[in-house]
Amino acid sequence: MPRLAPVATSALDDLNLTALIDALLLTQPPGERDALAPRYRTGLTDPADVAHRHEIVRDLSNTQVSDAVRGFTRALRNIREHLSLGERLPHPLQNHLVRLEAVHDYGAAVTAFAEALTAPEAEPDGLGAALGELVAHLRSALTPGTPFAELRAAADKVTADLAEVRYTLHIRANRISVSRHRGERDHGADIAGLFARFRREGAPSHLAAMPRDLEMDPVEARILGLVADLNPEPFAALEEFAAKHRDFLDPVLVDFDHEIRFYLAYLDFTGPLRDAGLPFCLPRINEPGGPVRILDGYDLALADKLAHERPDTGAEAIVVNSVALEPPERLLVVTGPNQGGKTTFARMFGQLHHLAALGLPVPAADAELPLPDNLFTHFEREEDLRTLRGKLDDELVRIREALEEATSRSVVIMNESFSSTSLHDARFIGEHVLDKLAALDVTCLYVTFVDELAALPRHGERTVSLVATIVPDDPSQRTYRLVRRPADGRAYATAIAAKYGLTHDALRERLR
Amino acid sequence: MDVRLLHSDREFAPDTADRPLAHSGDLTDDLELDTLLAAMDPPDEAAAATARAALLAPLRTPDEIRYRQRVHADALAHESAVRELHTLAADALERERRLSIVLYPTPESVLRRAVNSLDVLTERLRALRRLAARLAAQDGWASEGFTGLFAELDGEVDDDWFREVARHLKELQFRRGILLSARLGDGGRATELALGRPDPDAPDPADRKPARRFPLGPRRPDTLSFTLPENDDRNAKALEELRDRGLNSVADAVATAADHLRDWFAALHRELGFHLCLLNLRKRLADRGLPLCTPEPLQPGTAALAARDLYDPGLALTADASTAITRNDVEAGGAPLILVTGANQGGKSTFLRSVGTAQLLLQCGAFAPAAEFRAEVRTGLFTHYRRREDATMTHGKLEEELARMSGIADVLAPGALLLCNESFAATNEREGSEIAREILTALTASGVRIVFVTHLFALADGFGGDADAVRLRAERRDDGTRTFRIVPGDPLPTSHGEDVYKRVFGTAGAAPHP
Repeated sequence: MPRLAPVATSALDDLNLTALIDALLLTQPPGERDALAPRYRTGLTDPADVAHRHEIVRDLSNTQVSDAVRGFTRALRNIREHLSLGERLPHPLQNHLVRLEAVHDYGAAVTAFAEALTAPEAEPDGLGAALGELVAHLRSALTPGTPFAELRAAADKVTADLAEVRYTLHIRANRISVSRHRGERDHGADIAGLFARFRREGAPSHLAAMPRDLEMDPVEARILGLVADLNPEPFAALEEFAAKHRDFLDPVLVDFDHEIRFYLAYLDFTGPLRDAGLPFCLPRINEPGGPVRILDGYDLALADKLAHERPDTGAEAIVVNSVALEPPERLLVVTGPNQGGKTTFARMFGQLHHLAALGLPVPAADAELPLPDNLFTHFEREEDLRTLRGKLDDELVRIREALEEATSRSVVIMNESFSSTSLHDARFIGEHVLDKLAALDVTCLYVTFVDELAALPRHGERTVSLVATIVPDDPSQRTYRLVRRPADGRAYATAIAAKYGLTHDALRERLR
Repeated sequence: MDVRLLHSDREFAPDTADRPLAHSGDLTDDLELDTLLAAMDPPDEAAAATARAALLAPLRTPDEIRYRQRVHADALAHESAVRELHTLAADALERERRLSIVLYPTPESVLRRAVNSLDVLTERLRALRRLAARLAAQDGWASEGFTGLFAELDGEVDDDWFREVARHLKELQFRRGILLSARLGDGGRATELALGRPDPDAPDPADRKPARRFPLGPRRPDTLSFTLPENDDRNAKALEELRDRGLNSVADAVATAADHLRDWFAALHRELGFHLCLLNLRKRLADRGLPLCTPEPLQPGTAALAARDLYDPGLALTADASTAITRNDVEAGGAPLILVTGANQGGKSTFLRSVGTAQLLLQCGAFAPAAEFRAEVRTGLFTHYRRREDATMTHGKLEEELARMSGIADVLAPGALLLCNESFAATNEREGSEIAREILTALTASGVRIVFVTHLFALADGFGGDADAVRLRAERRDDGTRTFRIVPGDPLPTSHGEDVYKRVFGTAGAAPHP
């Protein structure tokens, strides 16, 4: 049965997923965030649900489709803001005009959306079920004679009549006269023509920035009233239109707009990383207990951070790691020096499982894994100010609670657990916890400084040992592969000439 | 109406088309161009900036160079006329500049300032037109630059034009109020507001009888009016905002027109100033008794360089009058690589500077510091000099040189001239020679021309018998004295540091005993 309770906040915190979710919510308007947030915290456990989401993600990976969807959600957002602004304007004529404008925008947005989705590049016949239904709905809405078509025609008529209205203002001292336009010459154009012979490129504009909001002062409001008095017919038609079309948004499209944000927010957030060359994939979902295979996975939160801190080189600085757990392997024991990228690796492992359970693309070149029914983490709490004894107590209580809840479908990630006690004790506790984890048959990643835990004979065939290594000659790198790399040995001068692209061949190539 | 005293088809544009060469800061330092620029005795900052910019933005074709050479020949033949034109242009700019500054630009204040600008500038334009008519009558104007300028001032801005401008400026006083046309914009706000020109014969719209309001009745009024109460701040502010919105586009148009005319004067002032700078420099060198010539630009692709009595004008301007200025003859044919070796303090650096400076002067349409100078028009000019400071961190220094060379390689194109002074000597001779050799062969094979001053014997010796390399050497007589002349010659394994040591210590050559 699908379990639809969110993953514990502490686990999301440990995996840096909380920050990630916050950041991707920021791509959405404030009003939408509260509704979206819980969806990113709750994994799916039914592969069919995941398949449904994958279908939508695949549809959105067609840029023709995703551009169309984005354009539509953006347009709807603008229309809503516009309408609520109109409600607040004091002059009733203004409110009507704003509503009329919103109807035009809406009509254009729906038509553009339908056209873009049914264009040949969008391959409308190849769309998944969800977007396929939407296309069918749009097609029927756009048929002539529907309420939508009538709405547009009526709006066009009112607007065309208002567009005919031109007027002239004469201001002398504090007297203002409003007249019908009589075709006066444009003074500015005359001057520009006279000095055109001195024209040169790149002259700055002297146009003052005028407030573009819709608020009217009393003088403008009186002018608008007089313009309406001089042109009674189009303004009467406007009032009638506004009264007739109060709610014109199609509820099916409004629902779609809310639904699709879950995907768009994630794709918007990961877009820059994809553009920078970082891989993403839709993972294959294995049966419970099946293999976990990750090719070139990385910590998405770290990648995002580096991309922001170092826009040019951030993506290159990301180190990817691959790992595979083939049944009966269930325990991944990670050892190695500090600053070796162990925690980053652990986060990557956890993030991939959570994101896979959300039905979203995961940060890896390729991945397959079973859906976890829950994620448990056990990271050391640096900020804990309790006594040594109390800290170990606390850690053991937390691990016991996790062990009580975990099932064979859960994923447990332990990071430097029990380091607050002696090596002997840590080894003792670690072995016992590993025994319990093995008994539960959970998938477990265990980061430890106790090397012996990686080679316990009784868990031999279910244990995989990974060792982190430091890249010795580039301490500026923050994350490292969990593989060894041979050092380069080249003559110094030639090497730096090569570094600057100044060997004969490199230089010839540059000057070609 | 473009000023064309520097280019045949456009104005000099230091910010766009005439941007300085990449790495022109290094070029300025290495060739000591500041000395040269100071000797031009620029009449004002605009002239100084233009002279610098033009020197660092070389012309790219022989035709362009000859065009500027012809304008300069006219300036030389009519120096006082050029000074008169320059003074008038400077005066126009100064009068315009002294007009009050708009501190808080609003359309109304921008318009007011622009109308005043146009008043001042069109008056000076009229004066310039009269002056040009008088100067054009002098004999001997031959360049398209000057004759074109005179012709345009005669034909493009005639009396009718000045009258029409005056009428506009009067209307912009708004003695009969402001007439605006408008349409309904977003939310019913007025949009496309434009200033209309009232028919001078029509009755004043404000004087029309106010029509009675029958908005839905059979009679349609043409005009509806209202009067705002006096002494109401909110209304006064609203009215001001309406005026500003209405005047925005005309203020932009008038201010843009004023900008264009002012910038035209500025271009004229700038380009005349450039020619005055060259005239001043010419006089300084001629007073020193040094030869000057109109250099001959050769088509790109020839790699040619030939000179008679070539000297470094920078040295000539700083050395005291009694010092003889060394002059060199060069005949490099079409060889892309010139290697200069030989004695320390033998004149190698001065020679390198004279080649670079003459090339820059050629490509800015000026005279050359030589009795004869012919050279290919280069696509760029770059210098890579060994930096003397920080001699301790050898590896860091080599890396700095390589990084700098890589930066030059980023912008090098076939046909560019690269001047190197003891590059890659920051490491041991074998390694330095190897790096330099790779770079030199790659660059020359890619069409780059190089003059390379070096102590690296292994490097220079390696190019022996290479038809693409001309090898020159600082002259040293058998008794060890230097002539500071650069002559054809193969490299020697020593740079005669011993000579310098002997001169400094006055000993007969034995190493000093500890």
